[in-house]
This record gives sequence, C-alpha cells and structure tokens, in this order.
Amino acid sequence: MTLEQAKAILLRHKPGRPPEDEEMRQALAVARDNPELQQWLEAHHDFHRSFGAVLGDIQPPPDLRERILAGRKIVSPPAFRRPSFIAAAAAAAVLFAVGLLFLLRPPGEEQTFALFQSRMVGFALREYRMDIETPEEAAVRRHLAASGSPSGFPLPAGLASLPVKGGASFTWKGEPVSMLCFDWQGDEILYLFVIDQGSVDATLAAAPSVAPYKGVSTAAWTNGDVVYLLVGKPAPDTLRALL
Amino acid sequence: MDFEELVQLHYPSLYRFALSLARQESEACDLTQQTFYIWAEKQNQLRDNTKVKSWLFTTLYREFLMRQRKLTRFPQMELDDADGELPPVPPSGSRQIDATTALEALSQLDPTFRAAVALFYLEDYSQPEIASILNVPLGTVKSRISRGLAQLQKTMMPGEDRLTERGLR
Repeated sequence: MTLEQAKAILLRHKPGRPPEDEEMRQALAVARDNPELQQWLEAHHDFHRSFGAVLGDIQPPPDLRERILAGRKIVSPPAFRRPSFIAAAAAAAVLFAVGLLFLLRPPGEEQTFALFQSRMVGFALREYRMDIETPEEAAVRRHLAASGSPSGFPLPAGLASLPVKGGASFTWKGEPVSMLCFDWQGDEILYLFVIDQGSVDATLAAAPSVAPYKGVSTAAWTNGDVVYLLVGKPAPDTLRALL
Repeated sequence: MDFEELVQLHYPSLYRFALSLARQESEACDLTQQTFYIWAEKQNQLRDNTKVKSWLFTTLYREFLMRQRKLTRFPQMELDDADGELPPVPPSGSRQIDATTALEALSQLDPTFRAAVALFYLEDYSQPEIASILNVPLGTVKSRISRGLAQLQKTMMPGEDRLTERGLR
C-alpha cells in the first residue's frame, strides 16, 4: 500500500473509531509505522473533530418545529388545488413575462463592466469551482454550449497554447457567462470569463487592457461579439505576453 | 412514537443535513418540513420502525434531488452581487472554524460528494448506512467520502497535505 493510498483511505477514518474494513485496518497499520503519516493523521483527526463539532452545533430556526407540527395538522388538497400551487403558478406567469421583458432590455447601469469584473474576480478567488474538469478544450466548449453559454469564442494564440483544466457555466444578472480555466506553470490557474457583448455595458478595445486589480492581474478585451476577462495571479506583463 | 415525538427527536439533525445540501436556510427548512409531511402521509409503508431515522434522511435526500432536477433553463448558479465587493480571501489555513466557514466549505464541494461528506460528519452512520441512504454502492460512497474530504482538506487546510511519496510498497 503506497503512502497516497493509505492517506486516501485514512481520510475516512473517524478518531477513536475501530476500522470499518480490512483496507482501513491496513492503512492504520501503515500509519503506525510511519511517523510523518501518523502526524498527518493526527492533524486530520483534529480537523475532523473541529469540523464535525461546528456542524453539529448548528441550530435550526426557533420556529421550525412549530411549522412542521402545524403542517401535519392540515389536510392537504391535491397539489394542483392548493392555494400555494395556484399562487405559485400565477407568480411564475408574472415572472415569465417580467423575465422576457428583462431579457429584451438593453444593459442597465447595474450591468457595467466594473461590476462584472469585480464579481468575476471575487468568484475566481473565493468560490471558484468547475462544472467540468478535463484537459480537452473541445469537451469544455461542448459543455458550455449545452448550458447555453458562449462557447465558440476564439482564443489568443498564447492563451490557446496553455493546458486546459476545465470550465464552468453560470449566470451573472441573468446573463450566461462561460469560464475556461488554464493551468499556468503547474502552480496557478488563469480564469477566462466570456460574456456576450450585449450583456454587459463595456467600452473595450480589441487590444487587451491589462492592469493589476485587487491583488491579481486582469486583462479585458472584446472581439465585437463577446467580452473577455482574464484573471490570474501572475504579473500584468505575464498576462500581456499571453495575449 | 407519535408524530410530535418523532419531530422533536429528528428535526434538528435533518435540518443540518438539509442545510449542508441546500446552502440556504429557507430551502433547508422547506426540505425538512416536506420530509416530515411525506412521513405523515406514508409512515404506514415503513415496516421496521427502527429504520425511521434513515428513512427520513433518505426521503430528504430524494426530495433535494427532485428539486435539483427542476432547475430552470440555466441550471448554473447565479452569482449575486452580495459577495462581489468583498476583498479576495484565500482559503483559510486557520484552525478557527465557524459554522459559516464550515457551510461555505461544504458548499464548495462537488455536489456529488457533498451529501456523503455531510452524512459522514453529521450523523453516526457507517459507510454502508450512508450508501443505503444515498442509494449508491458502498464502493461509490467510500470514493465520494474520500474525494470530498480531500477537497475539503484542500480548502480548509492548505499546505498541510505535503507528505512525500515514498512508495511504501
């Protein structure tokens, strides 16, 4: 059993518990003979205890119990006759109409590029996650297309030469956004966000505008159809060289 | 055990599980309420009363999955503005974990792993029991827990997983 195999198994070990199966028994035996692994396991157990305790202390809202008991007493009509269902259907119709108008409106003040940039940088640094993890750019683009997000956008040659890590599709103020992630020198990730030109109020040029921003570097440009925003920790000159 | 006793006994743990899945208090409350409502309608179908708790957890998880399938045209998450102006915060290496941090860390897990990791932490379920609740094979649960915990560790404890591979065998 390799060290990494033992660790993968020991991740599931709860402190103070007997091993659940033979492979856990073997992994614990490996840890007993390896001081570094034992130290790692003890740190992991500390984390287990803290994390579990914190989750276990979460209290439900004070009125939840009463709401549950009150719901039990109501004899519910069939779903489609419930007032809540009818109200929800009416609300959905209104929302659909509003949504249609919303989709057709030009970008408002609230959809400025400054806000877009701020939100994307925040996402990249705090909440980043990929829908699809693969080095195959074509697979990522297929996922983006299937999700209704920009997918056919061209890439600058320097960026296109980087290994792809994956991507994600999400919405910002109701507008679809694509994220394509690149591996930078095995240590960092470069995040490329792409949004339709009409979905954000941006005055950008075809030549990228590169600058430091909130501790990272960003590059922004447009090809007339979509707006690109590249975010990463390398210095601005490094990003500029890729574009 | 009557309905009120059942609720009193299980609603806090069900709520915690729901919150770990749904990430929002309102949705967690909805899921919890709906689970007990379903119990009220279908309790006669459960033959073994010792399995009530796992039945409730299984039902809540199924409700959660059903709701996920009903997401609209853009099933991706919407990035709201609330966090947009916050300064960038790297993953915390601190030992100070609070409920907000813990829930945020759980929310960042791949959704496939989240339920398994939540059950692993919240309840005293064995891996076979977790597999039964999630209706997946035992091997799948072990893999989801391991991979989910590895992701969690990477988020919560950066720089602490640096053992050199020595090829013990």
